Amino acid sequence: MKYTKPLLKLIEEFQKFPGVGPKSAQRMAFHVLNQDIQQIEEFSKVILAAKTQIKKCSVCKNLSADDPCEICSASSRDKKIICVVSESKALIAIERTNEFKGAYHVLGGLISPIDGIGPDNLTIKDLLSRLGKNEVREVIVALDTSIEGEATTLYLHRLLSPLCSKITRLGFGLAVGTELEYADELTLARALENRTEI
Amino acid sequence: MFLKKLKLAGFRNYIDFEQNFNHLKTIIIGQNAQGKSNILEAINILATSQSDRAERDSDIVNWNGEYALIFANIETKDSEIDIALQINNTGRRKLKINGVPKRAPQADLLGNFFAVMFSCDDLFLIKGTPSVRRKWLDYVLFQLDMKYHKTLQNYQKAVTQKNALLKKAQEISMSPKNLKQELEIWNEQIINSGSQILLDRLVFFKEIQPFARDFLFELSKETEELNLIYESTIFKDKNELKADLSYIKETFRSMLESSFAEELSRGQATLGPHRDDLKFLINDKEAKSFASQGQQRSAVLALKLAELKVIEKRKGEIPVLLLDDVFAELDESRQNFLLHHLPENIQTFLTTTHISDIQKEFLEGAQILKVKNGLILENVECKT
Repeated sequence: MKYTKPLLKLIEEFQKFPGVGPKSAQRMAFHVLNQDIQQIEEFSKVILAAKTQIKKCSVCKNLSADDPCEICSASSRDKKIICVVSESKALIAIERTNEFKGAYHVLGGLISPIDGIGPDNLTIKDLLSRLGKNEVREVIVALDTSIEGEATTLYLHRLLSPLCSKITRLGFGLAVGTELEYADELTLARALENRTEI
Repeated sequence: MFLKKLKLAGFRNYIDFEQNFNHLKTIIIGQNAQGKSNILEAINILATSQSDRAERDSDIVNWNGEYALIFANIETKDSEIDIALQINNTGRRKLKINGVPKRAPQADLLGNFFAVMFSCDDLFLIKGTPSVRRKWLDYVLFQLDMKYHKTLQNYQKAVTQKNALLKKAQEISMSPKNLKQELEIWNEQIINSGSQILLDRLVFFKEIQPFARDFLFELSKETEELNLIYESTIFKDKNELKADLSYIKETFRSMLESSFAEELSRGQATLGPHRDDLKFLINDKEAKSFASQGQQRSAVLALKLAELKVIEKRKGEIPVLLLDDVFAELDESRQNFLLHHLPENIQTFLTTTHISDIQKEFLEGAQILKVKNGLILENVECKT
């Protein structure tokens, strides 16, 4: 039994989403068919609105409907501290901690020659001009600990050193709540290296 | 270390295999292509996390199934371990140790079970390509040092990225300043992980060298002296090679700086442990060009016995010995030598097409499994 054409098309579209396989795509497509036409109209408006209204903040390159974004325009945030992240997803993760009161800069990825991403494909130039314009006290580089994250961190460090006196990165160590004996050797070795005085 | 039970499901031609082992020696007999080696391959995966034969994980999965399962019950000096490894044909793995799911199925498997594999392929160790020798080194080190696997993975990723960058630089013109800046970030990681790999290999080399030399000297009735030399692409003069991490890093860095132009013109990372090699000298002559078939066999046998010694010394456990179809390649005196130089309580698995290839002494008290097309036909104890 084959799907009727519009249904097949709908399933295929859902399948293009990350993490969605054929089964989930089928379930989502049937869900769409079971809903009222008003609900679906509303849903398509929401998608369109999100896509058309959300732009990148001209300062930090974070996704935002306003420009500058909520964080960049908030007077409560300390613009002299910039936390550099790869994607907006990472920014949200840090925001959730409620620990950081500075500003952000979203790179839009990590340096990865295999994927054709060089420094010029990232928002590094914008970061440089931000540092040139404002007096920035500290840059926190908060990138993945992957090979690509490490390479990008290194690149930023070399580039930014002449422009900012304090460049820091996130600490390496044990995950909170884990038992020591179950940590892998590399993490444990790094944690030992970065031990802190009590 | 003793493998008490092995279960295979969907693993190559074994749809449903289950076997208890309670003899020190297990001999697996069968015609060619019946699945003798597959059993040894499965056991070896438990030790090295890699297959010695498969190009990719999906090769291991039976073509009718979605995944292969290896289940093993292992007795160590002071405990018992249950390992359950699922290898999907998509290349994903799942691992449980003593029923506890592990997050890193490749890395977390290592260090639980130790084995030394000796197969016909090992006879190419001396005359084969450098990659054969590097693979041997890496697989032993996976077992010896749990960090080595991760370090090597990081190193290889950084080399791949560097190669992609060098290729790009050949295709489009980049300013030398920008290129150097971008290369540096990969080189930095290549230096860090690569130096650690080189150091780990050197330390292992120092350990295995005297054992291998003694074994060959005795096997050759004191006529052959074996010398193993690590040929580094960073230290052109082997006398300068020292097992000192900061010294290695420093040299690696200056070598990379001076060979910038060469790497760029070749479009490839030409320096580092991924290009290193080993050299075997027998009586100061290079074995690769001069050694006879017999000398090569003796040298590899000595090397394998030495490998066993190093694992035993470092881990405090006697590894399981896997002899895949090598007895046909070893004459009586070499078989005898092997037999008399194995630790007393070592568990050995051996495959052969003809039981007549194996000496009587070795067969004594062995468990014999006859295999045909992924099935056990017969399971008897050999009485001679």
